[in-house]
Amino acid sequence: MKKGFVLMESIVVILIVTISLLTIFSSYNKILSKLREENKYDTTEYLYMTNQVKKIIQKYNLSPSIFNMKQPSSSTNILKEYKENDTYESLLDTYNVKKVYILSNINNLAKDNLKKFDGYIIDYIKKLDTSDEEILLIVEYQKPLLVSDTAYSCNNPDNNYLCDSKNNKLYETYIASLRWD
Amino acid sequence: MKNNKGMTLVEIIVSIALISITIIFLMVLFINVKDINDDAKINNTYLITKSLQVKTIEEDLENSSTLNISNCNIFEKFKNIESSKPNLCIKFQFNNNVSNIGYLGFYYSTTTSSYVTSYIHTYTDDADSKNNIDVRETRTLKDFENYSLQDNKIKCFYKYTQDSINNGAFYLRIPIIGPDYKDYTFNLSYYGNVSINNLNSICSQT
Repeated sequence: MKKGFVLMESIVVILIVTISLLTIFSSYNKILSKLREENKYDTTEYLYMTNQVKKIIQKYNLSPSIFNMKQPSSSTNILKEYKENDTYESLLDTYNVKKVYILSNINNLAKDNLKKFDGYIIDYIKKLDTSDEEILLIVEYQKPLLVSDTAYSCNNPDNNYLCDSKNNKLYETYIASLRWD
Repeated sequence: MKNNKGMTLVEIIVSIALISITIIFLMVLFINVKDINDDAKINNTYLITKSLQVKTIEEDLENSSTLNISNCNIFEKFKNIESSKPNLCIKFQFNNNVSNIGYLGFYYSTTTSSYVTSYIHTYTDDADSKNNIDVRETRTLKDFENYSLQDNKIKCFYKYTQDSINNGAFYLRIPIIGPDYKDYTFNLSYYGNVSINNLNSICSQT
């Protein structure tokens, strides 16, 4: 009479169960992270805010050069860091603008260009679906969180917000884009 | 001759145990996903309602070449307000026209027994109002006090940067927490001909 299992049978069963549990676990994590994703791109308020930013840039006639994502170049046109006009800077600070980009050929992101942009912008660009001819004004906002709760302090490793340790302020990043006509 | 048909009791028990473990994992997964999906549904409903409201207000702002912003008396324009609870009323006068005014109100509604965000745009002083959209929010008094209320007031912040006479960038922010304890902060922006009157009595300038 056969009692128990041979070694091979046990090994095969354990392998199959482990592989199926690992697959389920990885899909579980993917589903959860997708569901927990917060809406930080192209929200209604920030689209209108980007329109105000566009008005300011056009009013001050900054004539920015357009950065072509297809061709890596030595400099990135990041308007926010353009220091010549102080009024323009303080106007953009009203809306907590961190960076402004004017980009074309967004679907053809050359590898060298990845280093010039931060993770948020790269993530955002990858989700866009634009034609090559389209030129986009992309604005990155850093909205400060006004919280006094210690759960949100810079020292708390559980918080998922950007931290400015010097001022002990927390920020959330929002990105919105409009066509640059 | 050995009879190898069928399965031993141990094999059956072990198979059932292994399958049960897998099913338990799947059940936990489905329950968690369902809970998150339910939260997401509520979140989306509030986001959509809030977005519609912001869109309505921003369109009125965009269509106006001049904007006068001031505080207002919430009882004049909105109804069914619980007067013992904090409220906030901001008035937008478009194109210097006393008959073209938008009122943005945050108050505790006696009808819904919850805090409500409401916007009314009136074209004449006593005519029909247009685009009245309510975002209904319910939250425990404790959360509202800790986050949005201070000294029994609804928190409100604004920034104004002038670049020429009567022209500048204006940004208004009102922090709001929804019933799912998520952030539904109201952000309004405008760039153009702006004058601000007596907003400091209800909003802090940052």
